[in-house]
Amino acid sequence: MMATRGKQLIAMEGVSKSFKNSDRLLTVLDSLDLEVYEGDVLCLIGPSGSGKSTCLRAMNALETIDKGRIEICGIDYASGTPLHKIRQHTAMVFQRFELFPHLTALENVALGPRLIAKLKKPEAEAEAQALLKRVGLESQAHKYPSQLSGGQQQRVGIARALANKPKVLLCDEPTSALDPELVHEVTDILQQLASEGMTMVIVTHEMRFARSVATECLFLEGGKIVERAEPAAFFDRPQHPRLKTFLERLT
Amino acid sequence: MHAKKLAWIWSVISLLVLGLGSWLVYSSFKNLDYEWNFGFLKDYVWDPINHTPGLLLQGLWITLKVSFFSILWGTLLGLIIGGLMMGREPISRWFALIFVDVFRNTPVLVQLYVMYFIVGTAVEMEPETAGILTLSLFCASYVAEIFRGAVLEFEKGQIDAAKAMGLPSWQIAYHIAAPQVLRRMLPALVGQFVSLVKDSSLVSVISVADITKSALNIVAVSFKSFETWFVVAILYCLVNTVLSSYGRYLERRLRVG
Repeated sequence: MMATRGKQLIAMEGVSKSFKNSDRLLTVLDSLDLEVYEGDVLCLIGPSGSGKSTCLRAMNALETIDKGRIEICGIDYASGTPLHKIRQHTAMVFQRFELFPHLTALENVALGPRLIAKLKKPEAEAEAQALLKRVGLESQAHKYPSQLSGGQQQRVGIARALANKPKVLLCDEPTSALDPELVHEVTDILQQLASEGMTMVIVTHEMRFARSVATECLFLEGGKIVERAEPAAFFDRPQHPRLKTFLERLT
Repeated sequence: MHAKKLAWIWSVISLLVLGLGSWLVYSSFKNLDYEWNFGFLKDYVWDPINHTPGLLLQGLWITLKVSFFSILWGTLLGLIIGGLMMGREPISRWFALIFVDVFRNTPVLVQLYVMYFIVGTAVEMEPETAGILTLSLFCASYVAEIFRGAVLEFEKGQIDAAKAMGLPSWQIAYHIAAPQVLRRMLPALVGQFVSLVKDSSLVSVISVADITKSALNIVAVSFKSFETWFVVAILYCLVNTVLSSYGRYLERRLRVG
């Protein structure tokens, strides 16, 4: 398939997780294997409850797993390395933005550089200002999250995620909470990041976006990856019957 | 639809109620056959013979001291108890729940008696120590509930965001949770502190020389209870006005967004 693959950044091996839901065992992840290499832009697609968000959140240990093994940049979560150290290799963009409401846009973005890279406040804020400029919000730097529109908040969320210079950007339905006319504000920036070579794993329902941004699309069903293909093949020649019906229902 | 105008009838009702109340107060004072004399109290404010603060000022100082330390220890202990109430360890959680229930649901007066006459006899406690200790425990039970309420209201998604950034848990607590939880606790906390300053008057029953004890002594000598209690009420009111104004100032300063 791809002749030159970059470094392996994420490896999931036989990852399983289930919830007990009123006496019924609900399997969310079913011995799932997934590798992410440098430069990959993977879009996780699937019906609700298919485990795609859980899969993404397991990558930075926001969800615990019952079985299997997850490695980030060669470090196993079970290796005893402090959790927060491993998490510093990745960054996450959330469906509901999850900005810190008591901090301005600038302070939200500067927090990581200040606390993790241990930069002095003026340097951290200079970096944050540069990132806000990159997402087109340099004029909103001193506003609080509640004073910004959803699209603007999510762009601050992306700037905050980039501030720690992550190796992989994890995006959990980054446009699902936005008004339809604001979606492009966010997808444009993610598209731009992808073209600059940022490695990303994106859970999304925006099929047009997935098609144009992804290097590969993955279809999840019942906690398993049932189809994995380049976007053109994934959308135009789906193999698995569940993916076929899923795509048909969308159009 | 246009915005509705306020009906004039509400203003009429307000005026009527206010008038009735004022008339009641005025006529009670008018019917009271009493010669008001506040002058004698100035000797209790400043002792003219020894040139030292008089009974009232001495009592005020003790009231401030007892309130200050009760609020300080009560808040620290309350945060710990509140934390235990939300913890996963079952024994300490049950202990914290029972502690809060006992101290919130029984009269402070009884708590003071038990602390001074029963516990205090066993371990030899000064009245003031027993008073501060009881009020601290009482205050802690309220602070624990206020703390728990503020933490439960906190949106957990932010914690995920802070974890995903790679912050260790103490930094999440210090930089993300604490400023917001504190801000949310503030109004209820100030209310509790104001209430505690007034409740501190109860320590006079275990012979702590606070301002209420001073007033009891002054009344016993002068038989002028109206004037004495009025002045004492004004002093409590002054302390609490300062306290709640400072609280409101902090609230404004810490406003989120």
